Amino acid sequence: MSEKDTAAKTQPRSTVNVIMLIVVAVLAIVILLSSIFSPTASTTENILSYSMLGGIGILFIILILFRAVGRMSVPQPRKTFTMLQCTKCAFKKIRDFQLGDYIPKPEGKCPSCGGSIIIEEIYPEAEIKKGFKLPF
Amino acid sequence: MVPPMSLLGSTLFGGEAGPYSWIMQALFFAFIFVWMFYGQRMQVAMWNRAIEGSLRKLGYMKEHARTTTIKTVKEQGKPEGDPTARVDQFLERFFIQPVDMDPAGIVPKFDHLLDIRDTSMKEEVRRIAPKADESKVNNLENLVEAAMDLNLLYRIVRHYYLYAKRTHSYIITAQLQMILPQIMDVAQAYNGAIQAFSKGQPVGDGAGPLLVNKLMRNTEFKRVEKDMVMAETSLEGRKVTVLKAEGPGGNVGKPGDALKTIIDTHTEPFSLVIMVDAALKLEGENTGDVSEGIGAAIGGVGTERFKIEEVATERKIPVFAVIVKQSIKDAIAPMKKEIYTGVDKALERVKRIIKENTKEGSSVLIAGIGNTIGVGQKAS
Repeated sequence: MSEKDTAAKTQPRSTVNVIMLIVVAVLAIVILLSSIFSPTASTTENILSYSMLGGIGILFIILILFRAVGRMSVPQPRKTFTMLQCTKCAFKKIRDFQLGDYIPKPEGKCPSCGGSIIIEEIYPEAEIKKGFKLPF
Repeated sequence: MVPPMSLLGSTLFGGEAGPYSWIMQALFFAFIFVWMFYGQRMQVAMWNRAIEGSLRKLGYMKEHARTTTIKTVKEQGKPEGDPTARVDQFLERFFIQPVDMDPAGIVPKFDHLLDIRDTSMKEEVRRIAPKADESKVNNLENLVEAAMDLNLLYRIVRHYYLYAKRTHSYIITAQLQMILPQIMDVAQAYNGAIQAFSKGQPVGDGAGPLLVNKLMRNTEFKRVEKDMVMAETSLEGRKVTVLKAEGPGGNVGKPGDALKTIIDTHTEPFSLVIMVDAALKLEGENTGDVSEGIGAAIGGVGTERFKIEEVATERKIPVFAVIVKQSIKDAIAPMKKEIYTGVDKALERVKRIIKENTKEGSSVLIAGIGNTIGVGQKAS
């Protein structure tokens, strides 16, 4: 089976999903509003039933939206830094990583003590933790 | 005239029985029947959706690895023609393990095949990137290997997904869906490795070579065995021989052969061998934590560990291991700050082990195991 066939088979059905979500959202909102405005929803039992059904629909939509937002994404390359350090004093300097950098590549003389400066660390920027995540 | 909303209300939540009530009841029973007979299919459809999503991500990562490899080959290797076709052929390469029905003597066979694999891959990289120097050839080889692994992961997941769909085997679909989180973790690790290998940045697995580098920066080093370097220094009043793969290109070398050669040719017997390596942390543990133990700390298929254990047993040399913990993702992604801190802690641990287990003036061998990409030898 060619890659094209597989790609076609694994295409997202996003249009169908969006239409279904919109239908559920409209139904939920209509039912929720009807608990307030419909003349037949005058009894407490009916008001409760309408509100519950509408509320469940709204919760379902919120859950789907959160899941879509929190879905695992492909990690993007992170910026990398190079830390230069003097071998004699405490002088340190951090700059962007340049192609050809390696540990312990010599990088000239220290401006404060004249000692040798070498590359001590090459590290990526810290990962930013995403704020809110559903526990399910 | 009755408004439709009131009709919905009366049919859904009690009230007079009418046509709408019958429709709702029919729908309810229809739902029960559909769920009874097609519930499993619906579940399988949901699993398939999850697999399709992961497959799309794997496809993206595989394609990203491929294009990065081709771009890096063009930039660093300056080939005369377009290397795309050769790279694509490269990504489909495979390795056949030696037969293990009769396991006696399998280690030399494995070692031989791995040597051939390594040599032929390097030769192939040199052909597609003729202007790359030795260090860049090693980096490119690592990069191609990561791209090959991503390609293989994608093809295997796609195979089982399509096979399960064709044969309607919900057991295969369920198994695939259950193992997917682990597969995606590995795939994301390789995806991170693409950045490190294409730019020659140190990776988490380089914790061992980095520790050894800190001990050999100001001493002369010499090459020993394939892609390995050693240096003589002193630590805590002991004569210390340090060993690592030759950097700063991506290299793991052959530590087993190198260790055997050093032990065989060293004038004084070694009182202790300490192996420093990166090791996979368990969930809940912190990246950069350090642990110590007994035994040869070295990964891979086991051929190098076999050699080290053999020579250590033969010479009755105690072998200690110090590990820097990290996840599989950290091990092949650019080295995190926490791992640098872990290496410093590991160095302190090595000093303590030497002090507690050897006498002053004795000889100790420290081997930094792992990929030395981005970590060289001397600071000059």
